[in-house]
This record gives sequence, C-alpha cells and structure tokens, in this order.
Amino acid sequence: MYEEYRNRCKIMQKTYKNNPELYNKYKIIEEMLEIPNCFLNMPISTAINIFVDLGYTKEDARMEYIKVTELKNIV
Amino acid sequence: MKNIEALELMKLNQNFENQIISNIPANLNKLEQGLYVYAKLCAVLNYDSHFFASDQKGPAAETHKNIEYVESVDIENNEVVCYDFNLICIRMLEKIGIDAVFKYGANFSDAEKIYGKHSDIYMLVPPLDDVEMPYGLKVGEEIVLFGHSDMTHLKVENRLIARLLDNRYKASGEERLKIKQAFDACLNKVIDIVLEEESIAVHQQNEEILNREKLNVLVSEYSKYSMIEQDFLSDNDKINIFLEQVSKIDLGDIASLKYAQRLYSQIEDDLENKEKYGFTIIKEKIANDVYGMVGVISFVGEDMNYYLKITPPNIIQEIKHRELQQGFNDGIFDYIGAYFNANHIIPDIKSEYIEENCNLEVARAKLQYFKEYGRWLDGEAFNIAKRLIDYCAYIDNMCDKSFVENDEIQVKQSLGDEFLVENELGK
Repeated sequence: MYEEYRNRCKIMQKTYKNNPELYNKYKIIEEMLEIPNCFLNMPISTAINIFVDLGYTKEDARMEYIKVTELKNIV
Repeated sequence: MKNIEALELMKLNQNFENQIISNIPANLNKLEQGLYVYAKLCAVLNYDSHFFASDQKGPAAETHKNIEYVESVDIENNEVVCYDFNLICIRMLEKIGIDAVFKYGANFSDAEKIYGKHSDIYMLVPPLDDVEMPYGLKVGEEIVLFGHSDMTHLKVENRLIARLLDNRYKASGEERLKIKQAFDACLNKVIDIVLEEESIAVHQQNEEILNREKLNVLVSEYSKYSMIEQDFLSDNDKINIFLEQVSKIDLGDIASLKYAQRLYSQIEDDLENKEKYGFTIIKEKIANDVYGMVGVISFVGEDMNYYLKITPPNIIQEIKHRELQQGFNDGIFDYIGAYFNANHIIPDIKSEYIEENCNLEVARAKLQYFKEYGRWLDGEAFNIAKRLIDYCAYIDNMCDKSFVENDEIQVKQSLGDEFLVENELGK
C-alpha cells in the first residue's frame, strides 16, 4: 500500500542526490515506509509533513493520512 | 433462574456453528484448530454495549439470561456477553474434540455459576504429535481464554490476551519464556489467518513493538530535517482530521469507540493546547434501565465551549454544554465504572459519579479495607487499584501535592506483590 509513497521517495532521492541534507531526509522517510502502520503510530504533524515532503499538497496530504489510517487499510 | 436441563440440552444455531467449524483451515493441528475457533468467535461476535453500559441490569441483562438467546446468536445477531461467549466457545470446542471448562470449575449443570457471573474459560491442550506440540507444552495444560475482552482486543489491537496459565509452570525464567514463545507462535498464526479472513488489519504484536521503537528513532531523526517546527496544522485541523477518521469507523459499538480512542490518543500529544480537548467514553440512557455507550469529545477553553457526541459506530453530533450538564444531572449520561479514567473526565461538567469516586476519603476507605481483609471491596483488584492511583493523580491537581503524594505511595505499596500476583493471573 505504500508503493506509491516509496516511488515518490525514490524520485526525491534521485532529485536531491547532490544535497546530502535533503537526500538524508528522504532516506529516513524511506526507512519509515518499511514499517507497517507507520503513519498510525507517529504524531499526526509528522505524518502530514511526510506527505508534503513526498510532493502532496497540504489538502491531499490530509486525505492521504485519513486513507492510510483507516482500519481496513492498516497492514 | 435457568432450567438446568435446558442448559444441558442447549444447542447452538446450526448454521452459525457450521460457518465457524467448516471454515477451520485444513493445515492446522488440533491445538491451532481450537485457538482458531476462539479467535474466529472473537472476530465475529461483539460484546453487548447495552449490557455493559447498563451495569448488567434491566432489559439488556434479561436478554442474556434467556438460554434461548445463545441459540439465536449468529453472524448477524452477534451481540453477546461473557457467559454467552463462553457457552458458545465451549460447545464449539467440544464439537471439534477439544475439552474446555469454566474457570470457576462450573459445568453445564452449574447454571447459577454460568449465568450472572463474570467468567473466563480454560481450554485444555489436546493430544498432539511430537512434531505438532509446541515446545514445552503438555497435554491437558490450561490455556485461559478471555472472550469478554478479546472480542474488542482482536478488532482494535489485532491481538488476543488469551494465554497459557503460565503460573503453573515450574520451569525457570528462560524455560518459561521459550514455552511462552512457542505458544504465542501458535496463537499469532491463527490470529493472522482470522484477521485476513475478516479483512481486519494484520500485524504481529511483537514485531509491532520493535517497529514502534525503531519508528520513534526515525521520527526524531526526521524532525531534524523536516519543517515540523513550522507546523502548519492547527489544533482545529488535527481535530477535524480525527473526526473524518471517526466518521469512517465501522466496527461493533465497543470496538468502534475504543478505536476512536486509539486514534485520539495519536493526535492528543500533538495538540498545542491539549488541555482544551478531551475524549471520554460514557453511557447514555436509551430507555428505562437501558444504556448505550457513547464517546464525548470536549472543546473547552477561553475561546470555545462545546462538545461532540459520537454514537457508535460513527455518528457525530454536537451537544451543547447545557444539554450535556442537564443529561448528567438527570441521569441520562454518566461515567461507566469499568471505563472510568480520572485523566479522561469531561471538563467543565459536574457529576455525582466524580464527586463520589474521585474522593480521597472513599479511596482511603477502600485502601483500609484492602489492608484489613487482603482483598478489594468489590474483588476487582486490578481495576480498583488502577482507579485508586487515578484518584490520587486527579486529587493531586485539586489539593496540596505533598498531602496526596503520601497517599499515592501508600496505595502503590499496599498493592505490592499481592496485586502483581493477582494481575498476573488476569483477574
């Protein structure tokens, strides 16, 4: 279910491969995405920020958060 | 009182029985089959919230005292209480050749013990091949099944608290751990199967704990690189996101509220002004002696003062302060003893329950009783102990701190080993 987010993360890593700080940030996000239910188990602000970092608008970030924390979408 | 013969002749709804038993996966050994039946019942049955909220009195209680009710339980008519669950579970286990008994040693002819008394059951480990037998387990070993709480645990936490009655082992700590791990592997296997069948979330509890620790480290690392400091989500946004999530919950009554509570706890620490908000589960009178459970989200501060009521599974309505207070005054709303948590008192609402229970003198009297008689007044060691500590924490805010600290220390000291042993036994 996190496939889309992983793909976005990879693209961001490529984009920022010459910027160690941003590259590292996306490396951390990539590791988070490997953890099942990561969004349900982190503060809501962090989760929304991650979606924004992955290129979603603020409103879409909110929708993504609601989607991934719905009971039926918890993996 | 029950007709004893009726109890002995009690039959389950045949279709329901077939649905559960014929669904047992073929590759499970006998022990796993028993655990599967238990886990499946926890998934498809719900604890009757009306019975719970009505303090086991009135029409809701009468329904469950009728032996014919058990015979009518199926996937659709799925609200049960502990003894309904136990009767159904024992009968189904019997059907697949696994022995199970009531915790208090009652059998089907001890109607009085079965009905009206909170109980768990022991499932006995059946004979298995050497290869199938989990490490260290013995035939006839007792496994405690807590159907009354596992119906909610499975849905909300994706786990079961059923476990080996491990205090009976004479094995060393390390040996006990290995036996426990072997049993847990069996239990987790059937939990995963059932969660997948029921399309409920799937995860391994042990793995989840490790993952949470890892996640905490990553979140902390991430915060160094992210724009979290410029948090663009206001408290209002966070609450709205929470409410949108709540509006999509669709579980049984108790599980829906518990899941909403879990979601709320996820945003609670993240609220800038968290003292202005709250989430509380209370009861609401539906008819004479009939209560349902509802959630109340509080918004109380200088600039706001209103409440939202969540009627499970997902109906959200605004309720004015005056209306809520009047409801508490008239006995329409009240706290539920077993769910009461002094940290979740609805702000700005007065209630008799709080005045009676969040009272240092009452706490002291109960403590004194415990000291003199070695047991809690109402026999619910764990809940009472927890509440006493909660009372102290609550009263801590109300009066001189040092005065209360002494009481809290006293409470904790008196709990000591006896409390820990009782709690370990799952009482």
